[in-house]
Amino acid sequence: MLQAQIDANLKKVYQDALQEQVPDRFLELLEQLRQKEAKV
Amino acid sequence: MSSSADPRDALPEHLPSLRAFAISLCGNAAMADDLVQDTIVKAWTNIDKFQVGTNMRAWLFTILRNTFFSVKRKRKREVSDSEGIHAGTLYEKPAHDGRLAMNDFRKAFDQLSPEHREVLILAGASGFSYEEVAEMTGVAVGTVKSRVNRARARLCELLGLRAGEDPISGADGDTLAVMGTSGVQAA
Repeated sequence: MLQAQIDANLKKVYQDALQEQVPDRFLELLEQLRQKEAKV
Repeated sequence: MSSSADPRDALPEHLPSLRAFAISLCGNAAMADDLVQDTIVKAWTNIDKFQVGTNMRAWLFTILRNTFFSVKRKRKREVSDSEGIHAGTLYEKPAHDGRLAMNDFRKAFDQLSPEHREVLILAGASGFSYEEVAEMTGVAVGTVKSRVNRARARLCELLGLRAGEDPISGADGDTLAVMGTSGVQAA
């Protein structure tokens, strides 16, 4: 019972973080890496 | 390298879960984002080390946790350990109905050691098997299992709860949690 609640809460900790909007900077970073590589 | 089969094309779809893992691991969004950034650069430049056909999410999580723990080790050498600040703080028991308030749970979770947070998120919340977690964290499966049990016990302690009747043999919860999501991309 308690274990199940802990599991559910742990999932919620992760799921809440998962639902956050991913900052644009990461996609921009990938794009920069791609362009840098294309140049060499 | 043929661009059509570049495994790096799959990186964007893993960003949400990677970031969720980072946030759960370090409990600090700014630090989490730095970690994700470092991980992206490392993954990009070391993509030749990724074995196509294997679990890319696991590979990325591994890079991220290795980065996290090596930075942490370095910091530990530089400044005195601040981890101990919260140690020993206990929370009041939850309300009479026994349900764990999410706020209290988060506070307790954030007080766990990073090793404990890691194992609970990987093996429980994000749906990796004990075997996968063992591989990702570079320890034996038995170590993962005992770490999960200790992490749960510590969590209960921080929450002021008794661990209950089923500590180690009580695999019910664990097994269900793992089986419930394994095989399914939690992302």
